[in-house]
Amino acid sequence: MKSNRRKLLLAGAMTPVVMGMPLRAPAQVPDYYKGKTLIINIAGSPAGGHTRFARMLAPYIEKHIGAKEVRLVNMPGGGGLKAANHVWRLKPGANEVYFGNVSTLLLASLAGSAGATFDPTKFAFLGRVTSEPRVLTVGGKSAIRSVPDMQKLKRPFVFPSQGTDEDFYTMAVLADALGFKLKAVTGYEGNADTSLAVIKGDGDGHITGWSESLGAIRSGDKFPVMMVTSQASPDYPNIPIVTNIAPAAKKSVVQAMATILETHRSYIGPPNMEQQAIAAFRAAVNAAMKDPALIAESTKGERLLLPMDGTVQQKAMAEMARTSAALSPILKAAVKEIQ
Amino acid sequence: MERGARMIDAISAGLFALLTPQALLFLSLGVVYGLVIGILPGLGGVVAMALLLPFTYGFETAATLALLLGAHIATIWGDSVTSILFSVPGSAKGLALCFDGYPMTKQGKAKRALAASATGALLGGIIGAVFLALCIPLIRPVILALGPSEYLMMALWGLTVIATFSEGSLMKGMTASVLGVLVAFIGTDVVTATPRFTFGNEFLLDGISFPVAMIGLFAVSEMMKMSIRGTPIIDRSLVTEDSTVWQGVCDACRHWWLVVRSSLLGLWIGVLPGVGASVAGLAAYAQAVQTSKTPERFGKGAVEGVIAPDATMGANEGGGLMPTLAFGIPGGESMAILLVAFIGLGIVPGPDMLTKNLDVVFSMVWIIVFANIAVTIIGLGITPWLARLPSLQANLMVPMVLSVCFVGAYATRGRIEDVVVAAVFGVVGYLMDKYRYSRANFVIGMVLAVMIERNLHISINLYGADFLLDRPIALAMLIFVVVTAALPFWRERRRKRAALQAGGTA
Amino acid sequence: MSRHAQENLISVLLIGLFAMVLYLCQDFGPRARLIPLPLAAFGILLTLAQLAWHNLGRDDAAPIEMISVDASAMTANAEGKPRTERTEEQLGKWGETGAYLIVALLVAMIFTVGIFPTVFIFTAAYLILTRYCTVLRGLTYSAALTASVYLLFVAALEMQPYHGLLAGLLS
Repeated sequence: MKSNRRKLLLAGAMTPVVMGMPLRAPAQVPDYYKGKTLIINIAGSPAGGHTRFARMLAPYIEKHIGAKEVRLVNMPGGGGLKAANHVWRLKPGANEVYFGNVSTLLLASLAGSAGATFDPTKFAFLGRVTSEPRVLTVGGKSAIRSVPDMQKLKRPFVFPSQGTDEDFYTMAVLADALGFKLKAVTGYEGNADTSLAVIKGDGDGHITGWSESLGAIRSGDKFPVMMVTSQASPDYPNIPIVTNIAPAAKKSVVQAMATILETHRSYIGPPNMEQQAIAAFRAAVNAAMKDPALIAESTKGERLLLPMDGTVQQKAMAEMARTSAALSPILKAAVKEIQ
Repeated sequence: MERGARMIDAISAGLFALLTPQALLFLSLGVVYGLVIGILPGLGGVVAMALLLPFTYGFETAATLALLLGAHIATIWGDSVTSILFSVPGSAKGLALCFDGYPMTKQGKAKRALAASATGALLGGIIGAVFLALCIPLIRPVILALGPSEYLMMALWGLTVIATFSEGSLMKGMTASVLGVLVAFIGTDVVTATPRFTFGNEFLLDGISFPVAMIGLFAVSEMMKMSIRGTPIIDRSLVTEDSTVWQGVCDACRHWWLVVRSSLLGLWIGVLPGVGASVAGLAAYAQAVQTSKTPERFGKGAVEGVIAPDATMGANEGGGLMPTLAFGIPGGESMAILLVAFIGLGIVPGPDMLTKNLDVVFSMVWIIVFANIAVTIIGLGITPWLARLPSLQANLMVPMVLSVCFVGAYATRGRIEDVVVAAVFGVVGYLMDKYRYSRANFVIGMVLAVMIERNLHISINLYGADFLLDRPIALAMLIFVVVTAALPFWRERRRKRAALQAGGTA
Repeated sequence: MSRHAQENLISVLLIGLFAMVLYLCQDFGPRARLIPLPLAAFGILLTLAQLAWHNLGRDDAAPIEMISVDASAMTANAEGKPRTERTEEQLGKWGETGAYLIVALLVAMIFTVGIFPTVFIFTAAYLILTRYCTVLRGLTYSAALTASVYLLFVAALEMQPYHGLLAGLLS
């Protein structure tokens, strides 16, 4: 069995080399990381989704950044907080970055969570790998069919939730911005449990990744009310986009929330990261994302890429930091509500 | 009529898809790999499946599923092995096997216990698979009828086992459970996001890992004891291994009614996405004790106490597929990984699965059956060798088992602090054993605490404090729990009274 | 200390522990303490009752008529008799202190030299010092164990080994 696995490993390692080299030689390899060992701290366990992405990407980052070695280190704990705290405290010149869900870091910090000892906007944003549009769905049999229906409800909108995750915070911001009453029921075991609660009608609706709910939407078990994104997409032409329907006064808050959600799976570096290092890393991520071999591999493994340049991210973060003063009290109030 | 024909087509198509050399090879690879992972402390089926996932892209559907499901199913019996031989449960699932399996080992019946457990799992797996196939049309309404209040009752049922393990003093037994519950509350509370008992420590925010605590409580403390005594688990000069594998196989077949009941229970628990497999083993054990005519034999090496949990966990696998298949939502972590594999294979799980991809569903049913058969054949084959392990000399066992345990504790989450946790729980386990505070009760409290807390909060929040009046199924389950918990006490009383009367008339 | 006094000490420690839980619960919101607070109070009651029972003569007798299943039989001897209290003579030369020391030493070693060197050194030292086997054999056995644990956990299960504080200091 071992030899079989080794063969598979070898085959996996060879594919990008064989497929990628003739198509595109590594364009300009920035020199900063030449001869150095780069450590990528994955905010999750070896069994988790972040690791699967990090492993797929590592050879391409290595190829385009020109480092001697790219080493992946799993640093699970506190929903990414352990890895983020680690990267936050790094000494200047340490060639280490964070890879994982950045939205949770931003939200944990804004909500004043115990354990978040950093200012997330001060990290160096090095590029997004993928993002999953989030959708608010209600049960297929629910009388609620639109945002106005939610606003007209005579009782609070019941929202089954696992705990204080991204979706919990998003829902709190939506309730505030769109003006509907919310009752969060926390403590569900996982997405299966909350989905069933919505399908059954124990809860009114919840927020999930688009692909997670797609099956249930198609079969009529769930109904999509709105997308919590900043842009429309041909994938969901008829579903309203939250930034379009929020009242003018609340637009900036909703936009900040959408920005946070759209940072999703990204590389970030320590706040004191050298400019050269930042530039080299961003260039490498951008080059890797365009690498046909990686694109082919990601399509084959159903791990789709949705890149965003680190510079764009950093700008959006600066923008978000300005509006976050309005977000923070909403998030804190939502947490207080469930305690 | 047409539906029946379609079903039979799907059943045979599912079988033929599996009868390719690649699928059979992958199934055997998965099973062997799963057995090894199951035997290692701290690692369970989820790890087994997650690590295999990257190697599954590009193969036949049936082969991919055979590899993943085969590995997952094999970990169950792997867990049981260490529970029976050393009282070291590899994960929460194996806990119930310690109660009677380990005493059997100490009495020189290790072969019989291992064989009974493997056969129990096989029969459970097959019964579970058959009922899964029969129940496919009923899945959706059943799942929709149950919710947090019903999960709460399942957890309460698991809690009734505490009375069984109270070592003569019910107060010490209950104190141990209270301690277990409180330990489970260390970390960030999922319901209120409050960090509880963490003392500002970043590591404690994630709570005490359950497998690590078990490694400490059972394995480390047993090794401490063994280093003090200097004698092996079984001293061959005092106890001879006089049981046979065949006895164990016969035991499982003789208690067929217990196997059927336990399997159906496993299927039922598998269908409820909020109830984990760790509860399945405990509930199965509770059920075996409560329905036995001689409950006093349990905890001292009753073979029924080995058969029931294994049958339940064998059947649980089939049940666990139901929410994944019927709604496309994974019933647990391992099913979440299976879901990723499905998407990689281009299959969209969900209600369509039961119409368009029915052959894939039946392939999975067949995989469960074949994987169970493979595990049992391998298991029965290696049982005679495994049964020799507990008689290894203490001075060889102690350093080896301790080393592997600490590596396992670290490997569970890749966090070095877990090594300290295992050591602390080792000392706690040793003291609990010395002063007769039941470790089993502690662990039961720990397993069920979070489930009870979550579902109680959700029930109160959704239906109000008098939620039982709103939920007739939950109310019926509560009555059932109370009755079954009281049954052994009532029987015991009646037996004593009868004995007294018999003595009076004699 | 007599067994009786030890039991009392344990009870007092438990009461202290439960009291601490009660105290810590004061900082939690009403929902976060819904279960731990009453449970800790219940724990104190249980331990007090145990203390009273223990000191009022009916030592360890089952206070409530219950099925006589005994989990201490999990460590029962061949005849199925529950294990009786361990006597001092049954303890090894080092007794309990030795067992605590072994665990403490093992943890300290893992933190200083890392996981796999510890597995090798600890196993070899234990086998050799307890005279289980000759030095050469002890080294061979522990090398074999270390290699197989490494293969299983690192090569097959992709665990990232911990290298210890010493390695950090050296580099």
